[in-house]
Amino acid sequence: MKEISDAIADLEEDKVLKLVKEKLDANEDPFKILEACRKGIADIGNQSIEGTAFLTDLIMAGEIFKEAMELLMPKLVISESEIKGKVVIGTVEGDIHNIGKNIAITFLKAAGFDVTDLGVDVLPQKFVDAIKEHKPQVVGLSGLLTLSIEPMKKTIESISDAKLREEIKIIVGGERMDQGVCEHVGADAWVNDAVEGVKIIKNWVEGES
Amino acid sequence: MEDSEEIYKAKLERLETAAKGKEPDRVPIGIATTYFPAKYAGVSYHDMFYDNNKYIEVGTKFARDFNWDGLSLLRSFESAPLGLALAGYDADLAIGVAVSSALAGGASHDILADVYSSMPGKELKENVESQFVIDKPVMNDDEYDDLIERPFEFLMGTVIPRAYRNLENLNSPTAVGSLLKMGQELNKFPGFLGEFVGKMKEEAWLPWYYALAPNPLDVIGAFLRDFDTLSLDLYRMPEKVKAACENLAPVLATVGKMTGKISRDVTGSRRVFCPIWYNTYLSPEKYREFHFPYIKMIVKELVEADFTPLMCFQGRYDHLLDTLLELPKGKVILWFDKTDLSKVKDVVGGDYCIAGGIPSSLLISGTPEKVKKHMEETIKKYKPGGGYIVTTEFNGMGDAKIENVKAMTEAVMEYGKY
Repeated sequence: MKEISDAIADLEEDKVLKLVKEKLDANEDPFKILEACRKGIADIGNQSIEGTAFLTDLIMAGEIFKEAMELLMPKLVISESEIKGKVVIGTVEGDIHNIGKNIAITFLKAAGFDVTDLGVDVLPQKFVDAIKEHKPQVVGLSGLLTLSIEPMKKTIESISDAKLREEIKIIVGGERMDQGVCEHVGADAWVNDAVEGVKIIKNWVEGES
Repeated sequence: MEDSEEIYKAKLERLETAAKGKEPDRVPIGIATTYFPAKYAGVSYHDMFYDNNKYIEVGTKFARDFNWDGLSLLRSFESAPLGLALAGYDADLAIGVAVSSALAGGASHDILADVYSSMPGKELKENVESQFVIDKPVMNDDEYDDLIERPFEFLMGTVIPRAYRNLENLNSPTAVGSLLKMGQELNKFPGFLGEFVGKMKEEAWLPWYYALAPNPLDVIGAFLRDFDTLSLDLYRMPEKVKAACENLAPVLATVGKMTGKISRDVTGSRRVFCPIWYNTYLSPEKYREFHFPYIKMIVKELVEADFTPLMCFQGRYDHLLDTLLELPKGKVILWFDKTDLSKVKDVVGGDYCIAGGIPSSLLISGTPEKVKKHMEETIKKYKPGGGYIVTTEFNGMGDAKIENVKAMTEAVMEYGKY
């Protein structure tokens, strides 16, 4: 199984898929294969945090993971108890960029989270409705542009007005984010890097349990 | 009171001296912003984008009141692929088509119905900045050979019909009619350009940039593939990506020189904007394999033709700083967004001109006092020895507060003098 993890972390697409098929054909436990894939993704995530892997690498890793999952899914039944936590995520109103958000989703899913993706250009009310419906521990607001900053503030205000703010942690992500923005919009954390965001979310959720 | 001609000459001299890495009379300030001047003048973003008279009104008011050494008020880029497809047919026409959306407003967006941009008052609300995101790739992964072997025919025959909804069937009345309408719009372009530049010059205006040389990898990622698919191509078909970049580089260098000549003749500015986008997202190995060689190639050609590449390293460049020393000393301006400017200075020393230092978030969420303090510290740090230009993150003024932008400007005048 270590071979699979290593091949994912080394971004060797053909090798990963070949190994996954071989293991499945040999009737090995699909959950162990899944774990190996997750470990590979976690490894490349760590490389990204250490500054040795970059977004284009993460996109390739995410693609390999998705392809491996397509092979594994027919053999896997994932139960509620195996879900690490729930996250609602979307790109805020007025912004239609999705790269950072999509990477965060891939890595959150690989880490075992149940993720609700609200898409791009998401109105504040849609976040509020999704929080009521899915009851996540964490809400992620994504935005590439400086014009996303005010909509982030507006979204968090709407969440507070709906009396849902106390129940959740909010993280804002995007290239223009910094501590000043985080305080201005009223979030709990900020990141420029999607994988760093996943790490923060994991710490929050695991810290609770 | 100096007349505008003298103020203009002083700005030109100030920016050119700084670009050489030397000390001018004051630290220059040069900024590109799309819609902030509209907000300042109380004009809607939609009107600034679509109405050329409003555009001139907003531009002249802003130039007069802020009096920056360099100011660019660009609009969009959606006609660039059509221009590129025409590059092998008629270079002047191609340039006219390509820059029409950048300089002359929303007509091309409406006429061509491109898949790239969303505009204020159209796809977006009236006061939301235009955005540029490719819906889905307009070139498939099995089409690199066509791009490499017969680029212009492939672009016109295959990419253009996918990139512009109104050109979907090039034989249709809609397509032919749309192209004729584009021709009518282009006909108005020299008149508009003359009026805009003439009126702006009365306000002693000099552009931060008025010419453009994009690089191959970014063009492929922004206009042909999309971010995700090009990322995968780097792994799955590296040789084809490089071959396509190799072929595009000379074409894009020519774009830089031709727009550079227009800029130099019309505005006096020899700066050519070289936006660099993928760098943030590439490992140093991949950057050196797919991105930097072609950027360097274009920069070399521009410098040889006596232009000053204004290299805008968007996002982060912290992991790639050693490459800067391979660029010609005193001949380029290195403009950074989120990169740690003090680390850049450590690497390049006094040999290169650097530009940056103003985070967007400070202008948006800060106060005039905070802005002033930040400006004082930043200018004090980078001013000594020259070769420093105050600027913001690329197109990063967004929802900046007017009082903060004023404080930034005043601080340059107060602390920037040598």
